Order: sequence, then C-alpha cells, then structure tokens
Amino acid sequence: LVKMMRTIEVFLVIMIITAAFIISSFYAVLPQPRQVSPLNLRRLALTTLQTLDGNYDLSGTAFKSPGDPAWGQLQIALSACLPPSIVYNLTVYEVLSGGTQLYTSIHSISNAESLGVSSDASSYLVASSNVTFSVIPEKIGERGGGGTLYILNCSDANGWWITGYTGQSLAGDLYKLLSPYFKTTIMIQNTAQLAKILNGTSIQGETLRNATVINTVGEAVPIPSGYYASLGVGYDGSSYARYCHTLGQRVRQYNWTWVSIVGYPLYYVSNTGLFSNEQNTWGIYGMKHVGPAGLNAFLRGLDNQAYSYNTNWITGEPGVVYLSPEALYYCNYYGIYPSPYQTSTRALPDSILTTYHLPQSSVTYIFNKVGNWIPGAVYRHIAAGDNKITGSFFALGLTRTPDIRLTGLGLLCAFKPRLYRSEYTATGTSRLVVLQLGQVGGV
Amino acid sequence: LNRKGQFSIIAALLVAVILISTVIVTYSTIRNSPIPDQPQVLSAIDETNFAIKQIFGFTVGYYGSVLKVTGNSSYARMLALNYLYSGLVNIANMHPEWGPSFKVNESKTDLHTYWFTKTSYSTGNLAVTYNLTGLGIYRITYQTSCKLSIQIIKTNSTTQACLNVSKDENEPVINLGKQNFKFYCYRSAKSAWELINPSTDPVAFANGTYLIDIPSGVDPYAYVIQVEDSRGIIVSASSFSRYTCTLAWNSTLYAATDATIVVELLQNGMMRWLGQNLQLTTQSKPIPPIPVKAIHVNQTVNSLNREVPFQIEDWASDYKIPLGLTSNASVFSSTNMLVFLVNSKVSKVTIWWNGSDTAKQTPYAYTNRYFKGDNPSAGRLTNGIVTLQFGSGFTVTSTVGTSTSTANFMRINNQDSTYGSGQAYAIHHGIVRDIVHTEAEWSNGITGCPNVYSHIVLTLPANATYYTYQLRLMFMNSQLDRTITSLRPIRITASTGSPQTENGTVSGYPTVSSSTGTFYNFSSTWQHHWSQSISGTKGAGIMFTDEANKMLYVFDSSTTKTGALKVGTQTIELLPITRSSISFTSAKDVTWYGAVVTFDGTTPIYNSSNKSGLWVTVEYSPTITVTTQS
Repeated sequence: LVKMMRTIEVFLVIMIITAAFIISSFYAVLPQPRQVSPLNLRRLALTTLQTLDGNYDLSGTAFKSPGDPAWGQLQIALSACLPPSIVYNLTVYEVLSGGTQLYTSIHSISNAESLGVSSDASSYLVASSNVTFSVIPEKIGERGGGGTLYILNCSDANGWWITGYTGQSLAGDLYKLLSPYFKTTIMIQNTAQLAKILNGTSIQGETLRNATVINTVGEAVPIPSGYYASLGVGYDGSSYARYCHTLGQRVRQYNWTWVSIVGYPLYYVSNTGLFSNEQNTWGIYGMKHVGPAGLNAFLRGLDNQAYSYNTNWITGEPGVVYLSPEALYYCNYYGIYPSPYQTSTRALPDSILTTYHLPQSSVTYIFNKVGNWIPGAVYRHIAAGDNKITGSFFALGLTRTPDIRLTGLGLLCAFKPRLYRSEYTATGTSRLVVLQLGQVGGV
Repeated sequence: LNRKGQFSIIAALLVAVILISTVIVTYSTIRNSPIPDQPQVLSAIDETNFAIKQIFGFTVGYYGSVLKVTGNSSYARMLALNYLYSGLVNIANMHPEWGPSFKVNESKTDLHTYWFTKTSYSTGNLAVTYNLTGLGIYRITYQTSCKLSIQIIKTNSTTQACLNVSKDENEPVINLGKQNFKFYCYRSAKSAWELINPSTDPVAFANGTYLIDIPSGVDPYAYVIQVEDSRGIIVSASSFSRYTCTLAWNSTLYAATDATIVVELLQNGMMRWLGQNLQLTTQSKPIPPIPVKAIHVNQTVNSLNREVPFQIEDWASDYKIPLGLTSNASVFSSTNMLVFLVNSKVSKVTIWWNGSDTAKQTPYAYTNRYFKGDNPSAGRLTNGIVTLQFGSGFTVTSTVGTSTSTANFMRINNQDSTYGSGQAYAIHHGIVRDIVHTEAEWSNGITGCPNVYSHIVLTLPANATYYTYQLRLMFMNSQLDRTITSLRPIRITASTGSPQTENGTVSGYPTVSSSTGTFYNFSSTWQHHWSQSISGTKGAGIMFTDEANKMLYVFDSSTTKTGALKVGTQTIELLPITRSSISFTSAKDVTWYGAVVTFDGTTPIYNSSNKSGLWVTVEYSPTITVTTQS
C-alpha cells in the first residue's frame, strides 16, 4: 500500500508539474517581430519617393491631370518599390500660402481602402518644369480679362513726329516687341477696322474690353470717315477735337489703355481719304490740324465730362528726364534697355490728375516727375466715388525720334506680365507629395 | 510517510504555481511592455535637406533663365535668391507642425554660370542653417551644391555634335533625351535665334557622352547648344568662342593709302561699310545672344595682336534708326551692331567673349579716347582730326586744318528743307564714332511732291578725315500727283580747289575728269564713285560705294537717265533726279550712303600723283574670311 501510495504521489507530482508546464507554455508566446523591431515606415516612404523621383518622373507625373496614363505607371512603380505587406496612399497636394487653407488635394493613388491601425508618412517637394526651364512670357490677360493688343497700322492714315518711321514700319516693330506678351495682337489695317472696334465689334472674335490700343502715327490719330467724322460725334462744326472726345469716351467705355508714343497726343486727325486735299502744313496730306484741343477733349471724354472746345496748350518742356526706379527695375526684368535719360518736350502737367480723376496712387510713372511735369506715365481713370478703373492713358511726352522700347517698357511696367513662372510658391508651380505607408499581415 | 507524500505534492504544486506565474509575468511583460516610437528626427532632417536641395537645383536653373534675358548678373542673383527664399517659405508650409525657420548664409551661397564656350557650366553652392522648433531641433547646418557641366568634344562629323554632360561631383548624366538638347538656329527672316530640338534621340554613353544629330539650318562648324537637365539647370555651350575675320586688302592700291574703314558687324554676321555689305568669302556667322559686356575685339597689326576700341550700338527698324550706345546689361540681339575700325595694316580681327556671368566689360568698349572735344550744346563734334559744326538749317561744316566743306541736305524741287527739331546726338563722346540724326522738313510741304518723310543720319568715326551720311526719303502712297524735277540729298561746298571726278574706270583705276558738269549713267560709264575739289594737299569731296553709286540712278529708267553727280567749281551735288523730272504716286523708300571727306595734308580722295587715296576704300574694300575657334 505504501509503495502504491508513493507511486500515486509521484504520479500526481508529475501530473502537477506537467500541467504547470503545459499551462505555462500557453503564456510563453513571443511578440511578433514587427512589434519588437518595427519597420521604419517613414524612412521607407522617403526612400521610395526619392527612388521614384530619381529621374524626375514623380515630379513630372505630379503635375499631370488625374486621367493621365502616367499615374498608372507611377502606381506600378510604387508597388514594385514596396514589400507586399505594405499598403500605401500617395497623395499630391497643392501647397497654398497666405490663406487659412494650407493644402489642396490634387490627386491620390492607393492600393487599399485603409492603412490599418498604424501607418506613417513622408513628404516630398516637387516643382513643375514650367517654373524654370524656359523663359515663357505670361500673356497679359491670362490673369483677369482683356489681353488684346490693337496696333493701329492704318494704311489710310499718315503720321507725324515719328522720325525715321512710317506708321506702318513702327507698327511692325511694335508687333515684334510686344506681341509675345499679349494673348491676342491685332493689326488694325485701316480706319474702317478702327471704326469697327470703336463700335464695340471685335475683328477676329478677340476680347475687346480691357484691350490696349497703340497709336503708331505719332502726334496724329487715325479717324474713320462716316459716323466718327460726323457732326456731334467726330466734328463740332469747326474742329475734329470732337472725335478725340468720342475716343476718350470709348476708352472709358471699354476700359482700354490708349497709348500715345511720342509728342503732343492727338494733335492731328488723319484719314487720307477724308482729308485728301488737306495737309499738316508740312506736306503730309490726309491730315487735319486739331491742336491742343484734341488732348483736352480726349481727357474730358475719358472722365465722362461734356465736350468743350479748349485750345489751351497744356504740355511743358522739362528737358532731360530720367527713367523712374520702377522702370529701371523692369529694364532688367524684361531685358529692355533704352537710354535711362531722354528729352521731354511734351510732358503733361500733374494738374490733370485731379481735373480728370486720374488718381496719383494709380499712376505708373515711367519717368520721374520734374516739378509739376510728368514726362511719361500710365494714367488710370477712376471716377469719383468709384473704385474701379475705367480707361487708361499712356502718354510719352518725349521729343522725336520715338523709341519703341520705351513704349514696350511702359506697358510692361503697367501690366507686369511674368517673364518667368518664377515664384516658387505661386499656384501651380510646386506640389507636395505625401506617401503614407501601412503594414498588414506577416509576423 | 504520509506526511512525506503530502509534502511532495505540495512542493510540486508550489513549483507549478511559481513556474506558471513566472512565465505569465515574464511573457506578459515582454508582450505588453510598450516599445517606444523611434524618434523621427533623422527623417525630418532628411526630408528638409532633400527639399532644400531640390529648391536649390531649381534656383540655379532659374538664375540661368534670368541670364538669358539680361546680362546683369547681380540682378539675376537677386531674383534667384528671392526665388530661393520663396522656396524655403514653401518648405515651411509643408510641415508647419515642425515650426521650420531658415537662414541662408549668403556669403557662402553663390550662383555662377560660364556659358557660350566649349566648356560651359552652371553651378551653385548653398549654405543654410535651420531650426525645426516643433521637433526641438536647432541650428542644423546644411550645405549643398548643384552643377551641370557641358564639354563639347571636337569631332570630324558634319552631321553630329559630340558632347559630354556631367553634374555634381563630375557624375555623368546619362538619362537625357532629345527634349533636353536645343540647338540655337538663326532665322534670317525673323532676325532672331530660335531653339530647336534634334529630330532624333541622341546616342548616350555611360560616361555621359552624347552624339546628337545636328538639325538642318545649324552650322555644324559653329554651333551653340542649350542643355537642360531635370532640375531645370540650363547651360548654353558653344563650339566656338571667337570669330576670326581675316582681311584681304589689295596690297597695290592700299600701299600708299592711309585709310580707316568703319566696319559695322550686324547680328546676322554681315559686315557693312558705308551701307554696303563687305564681301565675305565664307558663310556669314551670326552672333549668338551673348551678353554685351562679355565681348572683346582684338586686331593683328604687323603680326602684333592687341585689344582695340569698339562700340556696340542700339538701332531700330532694321538698322535704320540709331538709338544710342547699348547698355552693358543687354544681350546681343537684332537691334545691336558692333562697330570697329580697321585699316590696311590690320590683317586679322578677332571678336571673342568671356563666358563668365560676372565678366566685366572691357574698357575698350566704353572708354572715350577720341571724342574728348565733343560739345553737343555748342553743336560741335570732333574726333581730334576733323571737326563738325552744326549750324542753322542743319548746315554741317567740316574742318580739317584750314580746309573746310559745308554740307546742305535734302533739297527737293528747289525747295530747301527746314528743321523744326534740332539734331539728336544719339552718340556723343563715343568710343569709335559719334552719331547724329535729324528729320528734314519742308515748311508747307514741297511743291509738287507731297507725302514724303526724310531722315538724315551722320556718323563721325575716330581716326578719320570724313564723316558718313545715310540720307533716306520715304515717299508715301499719294493720292495727289507727285512730280520731282530735282532731288538733292546732299551738296557740299569746299573752301578751296578745283574739281576732280571719277568718270568711269580703266583697268581698275578711275578715269579722272577735271571738268565741271553733270556726271550721269552714260552707257558703259556709270562709275562716278567720288568727286573732290582739290588744291595741293587741301580740299574736300564725297565718295560712295558701288551700291550707293547705283542708288544714284535709282530713278533712272531704260530710257531716262535722270540721276547724276553735278560738279561745280567747288560744289558737288548728289542728284538722283536732275536731268529729267520723275512722276510717281506709289510708296518708295530710298537711302543714299556715302562719306564727306575733308583734307588738309591728309589723304585726299584721289591723289593724281600716284593714284592713291581714299577712293580705294569704296571701290576696293577688303574681302573678309570668317572662321570660328574655341
């Protein structure tokens, strides 16, 4: 019995010890390797992004439309870069600045609906090839309305004070210089076409409002025959200054920028058919003297004041004048380098700023003021009690010969089209790529 | 015994409890103890550094973009740094939770290009210190650099260009396609350079060497190529960086003639003298869009090579209207001409450039050596040899020693011109020449000749006894009849002498007439390139080239020979219309070029004793062979 009891005791001890081991083994479970030594998803994401952009393919794709096949190729490359247990979400953001919203999602690709309970991400900055690769002028009018440049190349109008040029040769040079900066450039070939745009009708379906009109015939201005030379519209019974008033009204109505490149603006009207037997006293026919009344009438029209015939000579002769700091800055920006000093004999007085509601704050000075004289500037009309621009006037009151680079520089100073899509933070030039990785399955 | 058995069981139970407890506690601890997150410091720094490097790559590219528009490298640097700063702002916006702030060490940050040479590059170095306040990281210093380098390799192929491309640390760049290469192709019709891609992808080698097909229209012996990599860095490399113009003079004729010729080199590579293109024995080589400040001119005189004065001028309307000296921040374009002087002792002229963006303009391009006596307010220009005095009615009196000549311009139908506006001194105190221009007008118009504009351009070169003229009339379409009975662009009146006029040539030498009268296009005798009034070593006259001689007859027809040189005792008149009246109403744009010479002990137009004189410069101007070298 004793032996049997001993046997039973030993058996029980063995049972107890064995049971203890078995129970212990249930608890002796090692943690998963990824818990002990987790994969650094963040670094993996950054490395993956760098790999994808090794040949700048990621940068290129980030700016493509969501439907572009490049996204599919990117996803294939992304899947190939990552272990099979990794799920990912690659999202491209536009980074904004200055507002409350910092990011705007552009496009996203992913291989799973969720990234599990734990995930990590890296970000990567890409820039558009448009930012720097080439000098592509922004077209005036791309931001906002307008963008049409009309160059008066009227074959039936003659010019004056455009030494060395004819109106037509000047128009050709201006076209070369300025057309790269405008959405649409149209040569107005005759006064009939000029009448058309004065009527508010486009020539080729272009945007007529907010256009820029360059008068290439110097101190003269082309005048269409018919309506625009008729009594009460273009003629007051003794002077065609009335036409200049109508012109000012049209500039206000369509918010044009009217450009006078040299001399006393609107000093003659010209139409070789209309004034076939009249000359400017210098042997150039097809011209009719208007005198200072033309400019005065134009400014009244621009300011929506009633027409009156005013022969007061308003320009002055400050002599040697110098480019403004702003103009000098843009010389470098646009690579246009006229002589920094010029001779001005037809500078406008600063009194026109108040008389005709051309507020000082909205004037772009091309030349520094000399006393009360403004040798060259872009004036913007803002009616009393209003805050929007209704017509602009760019007058270069220099002596002949006209230098078209100054005309170009003045307009570029006024509109400031970007030559380089440069500002890194500008919309559309840089994007943030965020790759978020999660791990699923495996031990 | 029973107690012993109970003890064993109890002991076993205790062992079991201890074992189980120990295992549970141990493994629970292992499994449940939190594993601390790995710090993200390195990742954040890596991300930031990488973003900075990205931005800097684009900054170097942007710097190059600006330099394609302006030669002002300090302005380009300013814009590029602004660009860099805006990029850093962008990085800060990427991770606002890190609180990044950056400080660029501008003294250790530089941008540099060396272009338009056989070995060209764009490069930059950046040093930036930043804080990631949100992560508790401060004063991380990061330095990086970017470079793209091009080496044009000489090859015998006339269809392919060979070049080597490398980037930072001279690492070969091997992944460029045809879209990354652009050849500069000069379009004569537009007077502009265009960038065109090769039509096929290049052959790329592992060491960064590329064989690229040269597009048609590009000179395989002298080409410029722009390479851009994916970072936006651009480099313009050129297979040449100097033009050598070898001048061939007629040694017999020039042996006894001391004459200075003013050469105007245009963007298209043509060279002019008195409005006529000099004869090139080779294809003309257009000038690439290099910064004006980089240009130098050397000459070889009696085997001695040295740098010489020159000037670069702005012109408008296809080189018809002078505007002034070109700003040294400009890039050479179709509105620029390079002007230099040569004489028969000059055998070679080399035009070369320094490819560095920081090149300083040579003093030879801006130092006034000859025109110190100019006084525009007194209406006077002088090169130290000849003095021009501008009087009322744009009367130009030229004086050398005690000889004078007076010029009157633009008389039509016996009606003198008037000048409502004074002459404009486009260039005074020049380097190798001064330029004056004005518009002639006719008070109340010209009787019988309506609708005409005029333009007069005079230049006074250094080292010369003459001034040149460019006299232009622009007849507009006219509804009124236009009849011209006489047209006299210029008349000169000499202070002394009797006339001598070329009246045809024999064996290449002028047949000289000492008569007064009208010299026109009479049968085979059309050559009237010059006329002078001479007395001993004193006198004055005018001379012009073949083309200008032909322009004297611009209004001639097969039956009507109206153009002539009219020579009086001491007057010489250029008269394209004189012998018969001409009527037309159409538009016509005509220009007469030439030079007015005044001499007193200096070289006359024609020296009867040995048949030498300045006449050889207009009838036997040098021929030029242009080659390129790197």
